[in-house]
Amino acid sequence: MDNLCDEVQQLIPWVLNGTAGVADQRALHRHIVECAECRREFGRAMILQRRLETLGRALGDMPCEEADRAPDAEDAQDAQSQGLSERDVVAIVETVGLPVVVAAGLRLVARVRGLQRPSRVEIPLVECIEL
Amino acid sequence: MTGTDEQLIEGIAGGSEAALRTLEQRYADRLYRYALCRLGHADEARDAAQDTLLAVWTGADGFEGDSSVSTWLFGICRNKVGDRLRRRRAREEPLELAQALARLDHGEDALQLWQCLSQLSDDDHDLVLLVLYCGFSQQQVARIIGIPAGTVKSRTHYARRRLQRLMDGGDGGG
Repeated sequence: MDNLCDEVQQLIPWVLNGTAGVADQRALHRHIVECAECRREFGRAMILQRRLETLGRALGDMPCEEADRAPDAEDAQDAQSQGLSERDVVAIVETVGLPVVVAAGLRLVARVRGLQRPSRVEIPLVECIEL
Repeated sequence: MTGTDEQLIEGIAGGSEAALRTLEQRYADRLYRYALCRLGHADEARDAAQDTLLAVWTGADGFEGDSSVSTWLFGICRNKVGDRLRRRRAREEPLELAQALARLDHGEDALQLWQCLSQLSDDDHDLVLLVLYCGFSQQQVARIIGIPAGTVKSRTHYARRRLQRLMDGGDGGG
């Protein structure tokens, strides 16, 4: 694995959790079109993330990133939101398969429309704190 | 009570119980889930989340505003979890979460992941959860853990690879 692959693979977690900047997203997707090893690594990381979500559901929860993510000061520099190019989309579909991409898209739409709200764990924490 | 997180912290610093309740509504479940994934024990996770809010109640005036409130909260919670992990290791208590997952109908995958996560170092375990489960950005994780963002990026990369090797049946070394 060369240095470029190493650099690109370091971007994978941040692209998957949605906090990578547009430039990083595009750099990754451009690279995995050409590089089978990094494409495979991206797919493995995506599966890992889905398994973490499954673990969260097994705990009776949804992932905590579902909670209202107001933009933070640290995220301001990454806050630009632009659509991916057709080439990016093709790369993703080739990597993980169309059903996964469609499912992810539907989840994103549901989230944006506010149709999918995080489940809450009802713990009366403040009640337990002696005010 | 409504307002930004920063306004709530100001309110808490001024003794507003309503502000604390609102902050709890916004963050208690996120803190609890993070703590549960680290500790594997519901009661301890609840206590860690509660301790975090108690620390906010008693120390809100220490919030300097150089990071987001969520980053500040998770930094406190991480310390509370760390305290509990150190105390538990001295007692060597069994993990409730592993036992609960083993009882689920389709819990094999979740249990395997949990077991692999448990084999990671505390730092690696933390990074994987904060990034891939909680969805924090590099800058936020850097604030929570207290290391440079560039270090967060490389350490997260190697933590994920170690976890994947463990899940493939390897030893997670390297």
